[in-house]
Amino acid sequence: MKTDAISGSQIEEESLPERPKLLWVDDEPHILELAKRAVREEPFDFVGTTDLDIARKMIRAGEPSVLVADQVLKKGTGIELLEYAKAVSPATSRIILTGKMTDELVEEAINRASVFRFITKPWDQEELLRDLDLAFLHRQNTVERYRLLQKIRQQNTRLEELNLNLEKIVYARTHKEELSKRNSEATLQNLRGTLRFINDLSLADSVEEILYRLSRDFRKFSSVGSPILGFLDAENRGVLYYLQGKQATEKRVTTQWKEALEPRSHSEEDRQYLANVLGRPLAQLLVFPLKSPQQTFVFGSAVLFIEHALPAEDLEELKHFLAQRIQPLSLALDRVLMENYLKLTSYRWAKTFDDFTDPIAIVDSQFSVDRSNRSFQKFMKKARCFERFADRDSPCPGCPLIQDFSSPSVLLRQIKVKDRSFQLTSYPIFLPGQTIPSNRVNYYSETTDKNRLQQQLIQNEKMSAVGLLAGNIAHELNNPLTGLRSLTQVLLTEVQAGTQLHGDLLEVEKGVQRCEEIIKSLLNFSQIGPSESMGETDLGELVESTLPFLKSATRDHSTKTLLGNKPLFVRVEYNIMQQVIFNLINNACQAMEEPGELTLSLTSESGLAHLKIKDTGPGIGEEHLQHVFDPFYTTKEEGQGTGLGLSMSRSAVESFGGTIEVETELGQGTTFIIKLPLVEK
Amino acid sequence: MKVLIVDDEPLVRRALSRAFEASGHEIRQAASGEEALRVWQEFAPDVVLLDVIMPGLTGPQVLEEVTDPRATVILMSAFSGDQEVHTGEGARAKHFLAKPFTDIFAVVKLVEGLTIAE
Repeated sequence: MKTDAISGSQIEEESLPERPKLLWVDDEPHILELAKRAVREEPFDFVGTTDLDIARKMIRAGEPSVLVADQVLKKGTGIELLEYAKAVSPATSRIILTGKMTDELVEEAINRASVFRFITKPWDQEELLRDLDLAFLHRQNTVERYRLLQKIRQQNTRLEELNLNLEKIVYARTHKEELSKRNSEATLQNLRGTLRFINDLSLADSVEEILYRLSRDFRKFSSVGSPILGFLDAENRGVLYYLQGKQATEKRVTTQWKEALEPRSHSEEDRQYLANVLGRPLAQLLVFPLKSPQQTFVFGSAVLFIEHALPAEDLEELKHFLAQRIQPLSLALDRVLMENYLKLTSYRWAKTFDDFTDPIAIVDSQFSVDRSNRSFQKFMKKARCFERFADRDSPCPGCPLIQDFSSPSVLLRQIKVKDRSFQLTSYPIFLPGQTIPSNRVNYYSETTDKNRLQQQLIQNEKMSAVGLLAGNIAHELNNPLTGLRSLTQVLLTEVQAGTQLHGDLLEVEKGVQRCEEIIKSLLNFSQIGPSESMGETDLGELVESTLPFLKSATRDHSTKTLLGNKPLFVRVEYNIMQQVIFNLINNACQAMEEPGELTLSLTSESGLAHLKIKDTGPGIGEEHLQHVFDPFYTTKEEGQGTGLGLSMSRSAVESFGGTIEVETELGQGTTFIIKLPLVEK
Repeated sequence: MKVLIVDDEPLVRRALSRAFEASGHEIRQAASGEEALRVWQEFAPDVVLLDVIMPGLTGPQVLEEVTDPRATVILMSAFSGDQEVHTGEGARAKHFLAKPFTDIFAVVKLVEGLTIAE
């Protein structure tokens, strides 16, 4: 809030009327009617007019405390009218009403007419009332400040006259009354000091600054500590402000100081209270209540504590000194606290609104966005909701505003914005006495189901990509492998059995055979190649038969196998299930960088076989956990893994009607649990 | 017996050649369908082992070009589903061999058996 420059002739000396007046200037009689209804329960009188001449006359007479003008007027603009009001009745709080807020308008309204608030049409009832309340409060404060400045100016004039007279008198009586002159000089000095202080305070815009100026003013007293300011904040909690060196300290207190209606000194209670709060012993205390003629924010309990060690007569001087300053001090504190409170509340509101991660917008029947939060505004500059939110040229399909804007009930719809789906909840807003909503608040929540489906879709797409790729790779590999194996078989016939070379060739042939097996299972996973038939198998026996292939992986670790004696039959494809177990055990062993313990346990629980593969590795971090089953997701070094093992294992187990779960604890290890439906034998 | 081996994979050609040679057959190789057509004409094989999937002319395309009706043609492919398609449509190929072979000498025996039977 900026104070207008004051020139002597424009100061208002009028006393506030019983009920202050709101003047509303608008070309549209129905807007005036709406506004009148909106404020009918407020403690001020409403005057609405479409006539600019009447409006100017009232403004000239200083009648309205608050002036609202529509920007679009038949003769001229709202800003022009407000500019006029600023010139002839500066204390009137000025508000501009506009259907469309633009940067240019804001700039012009502030620069030319120092407007206090902007109200956009259609307005929000609660917001309108709050803005108007603040405008009246602003008016009161402005008037009060003017009054004070006026007083200062009058005092100043009087002082100058006094000074002039004094000097004349002094000149005449110099030789007779030296003492009198010195007294007068002292009085003059004192008054000038007060004036400077008041001027200083009018510039302060923080509690800290007020305190700093106050303490500077105290310097002339020795044995007086720096002042401590106590007041209640907007939440009615006690706050103490004091300077430590040049640093201002803010201390929140839980217990309240004793209320002071009149200045008091030498109160043991006050001394104990402050000593407890500040944690140090104190000298004598002078407690001075702050009083504002327009009590708004500084209530009765605001006080100034002054620590001192003054003798009685000097204490009187200090009291006198303070009494002169207490009113401007109160006013300044009042103003600063109110400004801070306003800034804070508007900031909080905006922040709360913005911090909703779901998009929210307040819109009118023409899809114009009145307010929206950050999550909503992808395209800030656009005026309409579908432009701003969905980057479209027409309303989103399924939007309830298209047909049901006037519905008085809360509407629930599904709308699609690009490839995202939202559940839209649309709440109507009514002006008082209206049955048709003036605006609607639209709340968009992204449907979690959809999110999950989308995840699933991505997963499936990845899987089919993997399948395709795996199929292609498998075919490419099959050809050379066929040649390799056959050629080895030819060589085997040409080498004498029992020789080293013959043994080597046998190994090569076996190796190639294993490669072919792997490719076959890869093809099975991608479901391109021929599928092995499902069969009933004892899962324990299957695990046992897989272990020999894992000798090199498990070599460094101790392995505990708790497979039980009772066979547990499941319906799986034997080779593939072996591959799954091979993958999981191999992973577990690779996870354990240090020699650890691998535990394989098989149990039967409510119709399911539970196979647990537990390692004592470092565990899986949360950021990796949700991806462990993603194809090509690997944390292993290049060449160590393809990132396919777990994802293929999962789809395989799922194709057998089972699940794979993972439990992990950082630093403790990871357990993969395969659950497969048991088959009765 | 004169055997023509057509496959774009050198390892497969080599393995088959070695196995058939070891059983005393005369061998010619071709690395593509185009080469196969040239060699076929000049070599007049008794048996042709013909890969289905090759860059350039595929096995079945080669068969459409061939005028010599004498040779026994055996198609080879890793696609098990190809069997019906290729042996069904062109009467030229009556036999199908799935890759990978588990035992190369079994393949040689099979081919020898086929030609004797015809």
